[in-house]
Amino acid sequence: MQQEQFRESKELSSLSVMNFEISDEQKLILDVVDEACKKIRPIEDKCYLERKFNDRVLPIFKEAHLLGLPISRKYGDGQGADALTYALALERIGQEGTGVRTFLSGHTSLGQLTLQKWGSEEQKEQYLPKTTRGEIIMAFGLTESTAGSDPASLKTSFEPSGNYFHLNGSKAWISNGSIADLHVVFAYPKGKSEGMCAFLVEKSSEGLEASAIKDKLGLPTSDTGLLYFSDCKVPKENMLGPPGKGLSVAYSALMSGRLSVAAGCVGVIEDCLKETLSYAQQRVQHKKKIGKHQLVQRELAKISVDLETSKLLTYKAALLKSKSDIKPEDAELRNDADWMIAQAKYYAANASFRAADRAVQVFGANGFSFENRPARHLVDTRVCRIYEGTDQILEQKIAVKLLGNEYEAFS
Amino acid sequence: MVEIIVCFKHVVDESELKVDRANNKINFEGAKTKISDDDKNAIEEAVRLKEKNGGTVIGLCLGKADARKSVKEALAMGCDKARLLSDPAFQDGDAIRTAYVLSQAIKRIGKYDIIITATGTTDVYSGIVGPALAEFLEIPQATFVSKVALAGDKVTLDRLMEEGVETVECDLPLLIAVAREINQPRFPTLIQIMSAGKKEVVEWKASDLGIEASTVGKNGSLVQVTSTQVPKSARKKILFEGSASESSERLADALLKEGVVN
Repeated sequence: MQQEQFRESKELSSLSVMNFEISDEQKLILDVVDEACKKIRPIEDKCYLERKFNDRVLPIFKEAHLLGLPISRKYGDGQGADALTYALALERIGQEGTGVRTFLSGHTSLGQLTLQKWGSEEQKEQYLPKTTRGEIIMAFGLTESTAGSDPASLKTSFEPSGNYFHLNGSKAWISNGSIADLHVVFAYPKGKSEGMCAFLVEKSSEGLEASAIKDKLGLPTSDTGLLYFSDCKVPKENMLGPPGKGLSVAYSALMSGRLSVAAGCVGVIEDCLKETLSYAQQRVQHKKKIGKHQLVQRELAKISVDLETSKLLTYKAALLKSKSDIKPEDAELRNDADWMIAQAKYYAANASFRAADRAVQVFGANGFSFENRPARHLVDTRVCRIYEGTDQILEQKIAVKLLGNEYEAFS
Repeated sequence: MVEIIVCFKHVVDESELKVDRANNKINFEGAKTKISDDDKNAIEEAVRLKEKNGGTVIGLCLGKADARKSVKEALAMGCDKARLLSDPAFQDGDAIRTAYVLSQAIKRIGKYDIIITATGTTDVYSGIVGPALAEFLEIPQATFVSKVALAGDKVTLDRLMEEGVETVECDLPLLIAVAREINQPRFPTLIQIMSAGKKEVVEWKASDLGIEASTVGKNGSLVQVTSTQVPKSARKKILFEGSASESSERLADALLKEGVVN
């Protein structure tokens, strides 16, 4: 009887298609990422305390072939990884801090992947190899000082002039904004509020100025910039994607961007848990290690549950994204991926903020210093609940998928 | 064309180790494993020599079954094939027994021009395996090598000495134990990682190498490791009182006296 049951359960288990095992190849890639991250950590520690941009992230990621992980091998040092493998790498990178991960989100998830998806073959051949080799850094210029959650209200405009477009306006809160060599920029035709277009704008373009935003709450080691366009000359062949399809370009980019935030936040929670566990096993109060105090155990348990939940959501979202990338014509699959990515980003961003807060609490007064990692995570991960879709925008997006498009709040 | 065998060890990642302060013992539980750092320099040098001169590189690793991960990484870095020496009989052997097992495997491989090892491994750093291996094979050896130049059947080597560099010339075949200064190991690309899985890996046990199990590993070793502990670092905990300038002067004096600064 027992044998029969065993045989039956074995047969049933072969029907299962769920699989969250990491392959041997993915483990090796993660070893490479881990080695690069270990090189970055002491430099990042120093830069953080000096509140200085970490300029070693680029050369170290370049050496480790991580500047084009999900980009096709056709283009320079592109590695051709699928969305899940890339997410696993970002998860490990996220442990080093949201600043380090944000660099890659700007360069790869929002920049390179958008160019790869929407660019003409000429545009891809012109720019992508240089981006994967680290010769040029990318950024994504959608947000403006008066257009955040409502990208349709942006004011930057373009008008044709001979072989060029002239761009006028500004962009704000752009990750990598003041260090990037190539920006994906969104603008409306002059005098119109529809027909948005996307452009590839080189740093050296006449009429473009960029500056770094100072005095941020967090992310002191990564660049956040302002861009100013004053009759900025962009060659006509640098329009990205079909004319008038700028919003589609932006929304597809945000899928990749949000997934990268979710994966990075999983890494933040992992680091918070690691730091908190280690501290709870060393710190002695009331003559015993604080890990023996049940209220501290509760904090550890809550971080752990948030970690596992965030992981499962993020991996599921990444798997759906991988499937959607293979079948881009399947709109239903793309919508499912978009929805799951929104949930993963929403949950992981909040969970990472909770984890950092709990880690600070367990560290007590020591948690209040940037000398210790939880404090850095607390201020750095806060932005993850804002950029690439605020909590509120994502809540609305998640609910509308359930209710139907007629419940769209902003239509 | 040059036939190279590079030896590497699958070790615990020392940066992941924790120390139990209650008994000063190292806690190996859950620690990650990797190729010993300096062995990566050995692999890198082997692959560079092959890329420059043509030929093949065979990776040779002695370790438990989980060493397959390191074997795959060595293949991704550019080794053409690998031999994994995995047998419970080999485990916990001292440096001489390890060198003996490696020598038997190399004799079974047969043809080689250069054998490359690191000068030491990050776990025990005995520095003995390379030289002992050369002795078992009865070939010349050079340790602390920081530069290799191959010309025909001769090789010119720079050896890092305490105060200077010694340049030596040697005929092939020989064993080279490299210093970590020799190169910067490469990170494999994703396609190299994927193609590593298709390269030939053969696992050999003691019986495949004609080795009597009782003569190797812990049983066959002259040196037995009885325990591993972290040295106690007693701190003096001296408190200097007084004004900031007084106490900082006394602190500076104390640091000079202790030789911490000079």
